[in-house]
Amino acid sequence: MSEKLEAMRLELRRGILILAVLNALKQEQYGYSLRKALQAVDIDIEEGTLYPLVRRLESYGLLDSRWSSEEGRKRRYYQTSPKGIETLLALQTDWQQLNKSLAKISEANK
Amino acid sequence: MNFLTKKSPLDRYIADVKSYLPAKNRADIVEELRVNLAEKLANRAEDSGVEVSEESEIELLSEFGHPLRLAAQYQGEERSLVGPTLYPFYRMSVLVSLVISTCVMLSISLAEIFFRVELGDVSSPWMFVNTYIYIIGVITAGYVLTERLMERHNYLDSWEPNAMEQPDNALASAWGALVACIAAITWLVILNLLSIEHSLETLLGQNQNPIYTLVFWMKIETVILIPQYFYLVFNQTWSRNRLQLRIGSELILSLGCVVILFNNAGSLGLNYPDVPQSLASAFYYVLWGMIIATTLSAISYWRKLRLLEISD
Repeated sequence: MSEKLEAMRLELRRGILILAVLNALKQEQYGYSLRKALQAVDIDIEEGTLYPLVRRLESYGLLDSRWSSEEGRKRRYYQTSPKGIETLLALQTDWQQLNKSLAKISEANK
Repeated sequence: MNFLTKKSPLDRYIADVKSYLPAKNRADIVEELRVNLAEKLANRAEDSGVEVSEESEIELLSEFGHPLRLAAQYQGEERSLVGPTLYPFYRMSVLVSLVISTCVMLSISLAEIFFRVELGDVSSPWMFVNTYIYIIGVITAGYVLTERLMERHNYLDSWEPNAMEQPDNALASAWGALVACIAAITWLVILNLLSIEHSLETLLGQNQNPIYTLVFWMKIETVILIPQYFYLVFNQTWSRNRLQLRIGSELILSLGCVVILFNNAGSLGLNYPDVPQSLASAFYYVLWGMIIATTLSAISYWRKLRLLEISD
């Protein structure tokens, strides 16, 4: 069961991660700092999943990116694009609606 | 750097990931990955007070996982040759075809042992392996093509509830069954116009005339079909037994085509020297077409059978 549970957890988190990343990247960040920012709010995501996800969101036009060399270190910075903000708002509305529905089901079946 | 220079685990890992990435954005992705990994290593070293070493690199890389898996994450959407929608049909087609071809090859081998029929090199042990690879390859290619066509034409999105089959009333009318019955009898008469020897050799394709073998198998199928059509004139509903018989008759013709393909398809030109070589070659495609058509037909009857079983 633990394997199945882990698979279900992953599935549940997959969609939410997009919300979390789009939210976190309202402020410009690079890969490693993004991961730290997510960890700080108890969203622990493997880097092998996070970096490709960020790339995908960028390819969908939801993130803007640029290379920068600050403090002698070359980094790629990402920020949620206007289209990304629009998508985020839509997804957040859906998420809140789902949360409400779940609460109702939970309440009704107590 | 020469060939003997030892690369660090990090360099080897990045090179490995790079080799699995598509050309588009490859350099950019790899550059970013290198920067992120290096920064993480440096931060860890700073936190622990221990310098970056081969061990610390290996520890970090094990967290990132296999290069192939990481590269796959960058590819985006999951891809497969045959997706979950068509997979049950694909699996069944492969299984049925493998069973049919195994039956054919075993029959050929047994005929050689018990009836001393000379079969040339078709009975070599590699015949089984080659045939399985060939069959799986052809069926996979067919399903890949079907899936891409379905995607392109939005087949599943244009579905209409009215188009659903009635499992217990699949035939149009008694008249339809009567016409089918007459047509099958006529077809049998036409097939009988060609006088062929009804022997095991003809059936197994050892007669050097593929047309005779094909006619023999068609006759067998038609003889099975006629009573079915006749019965349907009086009772237009499908029963489980009749559907199983129908699947069997489709597979019999498919089996016949496989027999010809393996044994005497190539000797068409010998018997009919006037037939142009291109037409003789086209005979192979005709056989393959018949195998695919009868297999698809068998699948559609199998689908009806499943619907019938579920509705019981």
